[in-house]
Amino acid sequence: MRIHLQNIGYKDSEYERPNQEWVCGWTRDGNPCKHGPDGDGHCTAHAQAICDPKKEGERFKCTRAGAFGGPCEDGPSPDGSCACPTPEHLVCQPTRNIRARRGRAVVMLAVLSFGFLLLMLGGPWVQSFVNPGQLSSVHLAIQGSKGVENCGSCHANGDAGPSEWFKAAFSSVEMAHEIGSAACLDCHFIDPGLGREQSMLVHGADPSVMDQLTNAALDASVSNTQTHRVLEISGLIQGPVSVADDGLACSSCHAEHRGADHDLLFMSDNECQACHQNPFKSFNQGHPQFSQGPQASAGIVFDHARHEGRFTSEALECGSCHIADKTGREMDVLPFKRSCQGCHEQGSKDHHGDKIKKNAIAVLQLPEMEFDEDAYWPTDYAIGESLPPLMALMLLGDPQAVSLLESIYDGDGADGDLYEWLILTDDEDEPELRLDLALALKRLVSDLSDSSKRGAQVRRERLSRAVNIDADDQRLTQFSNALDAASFVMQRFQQRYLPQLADDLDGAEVSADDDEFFESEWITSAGMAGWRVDSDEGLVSYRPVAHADDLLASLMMLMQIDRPNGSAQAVVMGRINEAFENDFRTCTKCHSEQNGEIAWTSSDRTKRLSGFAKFNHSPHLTMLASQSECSSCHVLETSSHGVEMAGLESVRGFLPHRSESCTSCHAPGLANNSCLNCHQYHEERPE
Amino acid sequence: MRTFSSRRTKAVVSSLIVAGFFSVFIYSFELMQKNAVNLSGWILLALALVLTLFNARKKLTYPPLIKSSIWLQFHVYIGWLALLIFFFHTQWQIPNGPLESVLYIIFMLLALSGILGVFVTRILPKQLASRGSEVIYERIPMFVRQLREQAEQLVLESVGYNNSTILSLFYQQSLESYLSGPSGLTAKIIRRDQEYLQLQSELKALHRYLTEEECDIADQLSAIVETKDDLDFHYVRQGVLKYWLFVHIPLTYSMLLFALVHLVLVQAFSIGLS
Amino acid sequence: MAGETKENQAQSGTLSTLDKPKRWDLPFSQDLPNEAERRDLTETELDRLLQSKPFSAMDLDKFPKSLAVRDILRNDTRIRKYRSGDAVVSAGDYGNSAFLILEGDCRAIIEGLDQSALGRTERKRHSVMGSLIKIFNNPKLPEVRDAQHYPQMDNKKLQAGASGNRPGISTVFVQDVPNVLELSPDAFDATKNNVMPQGSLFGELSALGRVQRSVTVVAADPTTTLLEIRWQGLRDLMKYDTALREHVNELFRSHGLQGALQASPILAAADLTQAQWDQVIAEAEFETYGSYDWYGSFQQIRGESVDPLSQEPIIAKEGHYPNGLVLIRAGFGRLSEKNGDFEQTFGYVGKGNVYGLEELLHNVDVAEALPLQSTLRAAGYTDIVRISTKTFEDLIYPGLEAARQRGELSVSFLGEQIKRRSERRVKIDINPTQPEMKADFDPSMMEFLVENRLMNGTETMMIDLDRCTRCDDCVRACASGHDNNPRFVRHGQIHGHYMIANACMHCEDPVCMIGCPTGAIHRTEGEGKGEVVINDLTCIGCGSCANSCPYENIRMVNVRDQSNQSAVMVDPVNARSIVKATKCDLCVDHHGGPACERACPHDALKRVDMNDIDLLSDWFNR
Repeated sequence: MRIHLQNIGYKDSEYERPNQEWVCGWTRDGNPCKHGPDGDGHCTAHAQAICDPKKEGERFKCTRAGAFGGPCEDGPSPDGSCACPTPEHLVCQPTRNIRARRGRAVVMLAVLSFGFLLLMLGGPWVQSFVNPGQLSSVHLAIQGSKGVENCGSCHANGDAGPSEWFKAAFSSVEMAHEIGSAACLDCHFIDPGLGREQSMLVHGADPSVMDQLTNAALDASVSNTQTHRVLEISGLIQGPVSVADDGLACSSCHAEHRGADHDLLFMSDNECQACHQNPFKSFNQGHPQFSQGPQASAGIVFDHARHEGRFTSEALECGSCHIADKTGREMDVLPFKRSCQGCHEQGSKDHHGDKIKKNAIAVLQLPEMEFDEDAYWPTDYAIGESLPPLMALMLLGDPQAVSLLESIYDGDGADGDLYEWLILTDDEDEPELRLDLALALKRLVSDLSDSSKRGAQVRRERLSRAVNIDADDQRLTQFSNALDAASFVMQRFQQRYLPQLADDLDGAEVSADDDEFFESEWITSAGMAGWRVDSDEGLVSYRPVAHADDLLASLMMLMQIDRPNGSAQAVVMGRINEAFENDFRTCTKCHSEQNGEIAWTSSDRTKRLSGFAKFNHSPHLTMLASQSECSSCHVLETSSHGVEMAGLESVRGFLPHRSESCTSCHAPGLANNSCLNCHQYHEERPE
Repeated sequence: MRTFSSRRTKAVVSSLIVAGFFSVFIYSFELMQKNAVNLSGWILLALALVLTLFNARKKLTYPPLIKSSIWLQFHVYIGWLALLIFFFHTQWQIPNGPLESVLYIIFMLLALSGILGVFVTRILPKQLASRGSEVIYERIPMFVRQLREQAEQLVLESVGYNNSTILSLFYQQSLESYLSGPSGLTAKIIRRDQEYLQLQSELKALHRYLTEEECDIADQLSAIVETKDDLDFHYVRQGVLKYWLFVHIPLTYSMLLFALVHLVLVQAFSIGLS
Repeated sequence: MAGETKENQAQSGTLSTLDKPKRWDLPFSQDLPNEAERRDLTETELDRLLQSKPFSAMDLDKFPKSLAVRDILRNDTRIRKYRSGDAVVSAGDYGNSAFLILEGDCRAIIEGLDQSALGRTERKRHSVMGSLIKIFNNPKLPEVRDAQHYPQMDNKKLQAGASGNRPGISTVFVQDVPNVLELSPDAFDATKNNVMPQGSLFGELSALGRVQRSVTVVAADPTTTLLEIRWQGLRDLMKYDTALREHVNELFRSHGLQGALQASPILAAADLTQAQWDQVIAEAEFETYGSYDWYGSFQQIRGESVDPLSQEPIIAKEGHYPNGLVLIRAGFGRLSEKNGDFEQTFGYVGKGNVYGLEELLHNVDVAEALPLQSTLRAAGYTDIVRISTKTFEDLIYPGLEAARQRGELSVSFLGEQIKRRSERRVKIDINPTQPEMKADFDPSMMEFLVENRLMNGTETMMIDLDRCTRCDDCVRACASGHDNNPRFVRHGQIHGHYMIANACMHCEDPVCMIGCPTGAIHRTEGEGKGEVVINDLTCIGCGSCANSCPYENIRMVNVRDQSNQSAVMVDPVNARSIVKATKCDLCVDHHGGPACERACPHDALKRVDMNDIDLLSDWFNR
């Protein structure tokens, strides 16, 4: 049983007027007055009663409108003024209709928000308010404590305040990168050598260079790489990325205000792949193959292939020669003593055995000469048939001796054969030349045997004249030091064969023979290692004692110095070379010699490895079960079955690296495989 | 024939396509290291303005602008789209700057109220049509009063018969208050409120003590109560249909205000980001 | 502040007085677009009129004092002069007046007249900008009027085209009448009364029947003088003078009938020769069922629980022999069929529809004739023309058949004829090639529509309560376009979850007009779609329209005086406040059609045309 509520008859139901802002206050009570409030929300209850009585004959008649309940029973007062009966409704307080109230709500909230904003922007806390997010921990110092004005420390007009910000927002001037990144560069110099503008450039390189590289890369771009679908699509949408010639702002990669724990340095691969025109999916999918093998050190010649498996593995492992340097990034080669000596030197003093005897180097031997008039010369003991090359070298340092040597080594004449030369001197009747030679030799001996500082000095000068390089040249010093060590031996030599040399050189009269000196014995000492005096032949010789022999090494280096062709020096050197060929070869077998440079040590390789790609050995070493596993990356040519080496020259017996050897571990879900794991954007500038 | 369901599917599909397009577009900006946030921001602003225009359209009733219903369709689906873009803009995380946080909250409330609105405007009308007699919201108090007066009339009658005061007492104790205004509104959103059920059962219970005529009156009274209950039912639902806009619309404008400030700041501080 | 409040109240208290409007406040002769033509009829003219036919023949004593013929003539007629070629009425217009030729002659042009020649002009609307501005400077209070323009204030201040006469309609000049007439091949034989001599009456059809002018009539004489009669006047004259009444009826057979018949697509399709037409017309019987003011009885029975069918006179009964093709000329018929013991309504027919077509088509040269499949009742009031079966089979059917063989008349067209009159196809398959008729919506809804005579509406406001959020945007939109006044109420009869809101339906048969003493309520003319509108200036607030509207869609309001602090206007004599009738005007003054429909955000509100069953059912089945 329902109760009918709404009559729709036009008499029963007037227009509902939701468009009227004001509704009668009595509506809430369920009986609004027919008339309703006026347009400004005032109750019209009083007005409804009002009428202006009309005179009809004698009586006044109420003219209250039908809309207000028609004429009132009592009618107007006799004098014709409206008696104004109390209205059916008491005066009400009209209320806004729901719609109007909604409008008010809108306005109020708007005003509220506006006020709030004013308060926030107006107060001293404005900067903390507008701060879009905490700076990363490294920069917190810049952000400073609350309420400190410091936006300006990075943002131009950051401290200018709201009004300026508004201006800036609507000013059309486009801020250039430099301004934005200037603040960064104040602290972070990518490369002190680089100007601010340059620092912003892509890879810090000159745009033209980048273009070349890009084109080159595009030409070489590997077609079969799996490309990044999404990147392709966005490429289609965006077209190829073009970076403005003034480069990138720091902020375009290093986003700030991401909270304290935000890592400014973290980059996703996209940061790289966005620009790199042939975007591939990831390091694991589509990364171009490596073009280089392990970097070769040109210094020490070492054929890994020959050594591998040649000896028992525990005797010879990668680790027995290679060790990570202190940074752990690179692998160094251990010095000879620790790597090679084990096999290549028995450690006994005389490891050269007979072999060495043969090629002991003759250093000093007085030649056999006869003089017409008597001269101070140990005729009986001077039995040399030729000038030992090394001695000749030292003679070259004697200005008076140069001409003699030239005549001795004159190709048309004696051609270095001393005996021949002596005959020649007879024939040409120039006996005084012999005296000159003897004299030069005596001077040499005295020089060599002078163990004083001055002696060393003299010797150095003499040598410098001989090989005409300045006295304090490192190679020369090394050589002369070796001679200094021998000065004691030389003294003995002098005291044995030319005891009165000093007097003789002073021009005093000395007797030809002086046997009484011959009792004196040979004394050997540690400093004299390798030096030997052959009393029967009156010969001072030297044999290299151990690996890295100073004399030999320095001599080899001196040999590299080029000298005028045909000159006595040239000839002499030639002789020396012939004489020492074998000895030299023993060294150059390992110590390669390149354009006048002899590599004594394994020159360091970090220089050669591009700074753009980095690799750190140490973490990988920890992964290795046994050292032999180095081969999992460093594949030897010989053991390289089925590995194709198309046009990639193998280095020192190693095949070029294959990215597979990396991707086996550096894969999603395993080890980090992001671009920046190997590549460092700011490290090296392409040129 | 153009049915609502077909229209809905069309709209949903097409807006999904549009959404997809926008997503790819913005994402590609992100990948290409262009300023995706900036982009999404501008898109968002544009959408917000379009959405706000709906309100303006409602005010401009006469110039032959597009039909309001079509506007609403766009309003709803663009609303969803805007929400998506908003998430792109905020990069799916809550900002940690004070200003941005406030803006974020306002926007979220706005979106939520909008979503609520969509469902309310689709669900409640059916309920309204299915129960009680159709009444104009503004007139409900009038009808309540009408019922109350009827009830009073009946009660007086009952007294008239034989001076039994059972019904009149009952009226004074419980009925009058129930009939004097809306009651149990929150409860009614879900189901009939306790008070109503109680009254009905009490009325039934009374029958035992009542004479023939009084029983008849009691029945009429329960009918009145029933009707009043329906009125409340309409009152609360129509109320909801009107009042959710009290959240949605005011928030719109304060959101725009905050967005403006946000925009200005971004512009002023965006040096270096180009 | 307080002081201001007092003052304010005082202001709204001051009364603004206005004489109680009466029927003849504004004589017809004053209700003209251009000042020049406005002139009251002189006594001599009245005398002359009374001596000339048909008035001379009238028995003046039959007329009540209040409605003396002389007064009727004085107030409800006007004398108008036309030059040769002036269009008096143009086909398609809605006219509220009839014409009596006093001098010269006129010609009816059935066809061949280019509409543009009639200088049809768009009804004056607000410019878009205008509407926009109006929205923002609407008065604060409801029902505020610019009383200065009310005739009661001062007759001189009458507004041009006050009663909606299209400005300049009377001065449309049709170039070179003879040629125009030649355009139609047999112009002069087209209808006997093509040339209308002095003394003949025309335009009465559309005036009385509230239908469009069927023909264009042009003045064919340099000095044509016509007596234009308001339909209210004519109605009264007919009421008390039988002769005139019969004359008018006869006139209909002669002028109107052919037009009416041709208005029906099915008959037009049969394209008959003029001779055949004449035959058809000669034999056609036209009958009127129900009462001209059916709404009265309708409102009575609506309340009581009486079977409406019993109240509706039967036009043709199911099961009977189809004795002819029934063409609905005006009003509506209810279609029902036996369903067990009771009859179920399944459709209705309106103006221009035919009934009995399938049966007739089927019965053509068939041994056992198929009886009528449905019952046709007069829903309220129905004017029909009945064409006997014989005539149909002899003249019309061959025409149709020929047309169909020529391919001009598609079967679906025939189907269309049948569909327009019912949702449900007849039970037995008459014409296998007929298109399948879909059962589009709940028969109970159909019942409901016919029951409440809602099929009358062409712009019925239907609200789908399952979608309507009761936001009142429609009402507010409406108000914004009508000086801050809604013109409908968002309540009304409900069936299922559909509400027929109390907004003017702009009926096919606007019974509201019938009672109107001043013709303030009228159909828009010219290009107007014939919306039913009320001219606020001539409305006297008698409330007869509101009373006669069966749908309670017209509301009387107390008006306020703009020029006097929007105070309520009252009649100083009896302290009655001045009321005016108001209703939906379908936003004729604005662009873009009814604002309510456009303002509804939820597709809940629609103005539906009950004649278009397809659209209606589409809407129901959304």
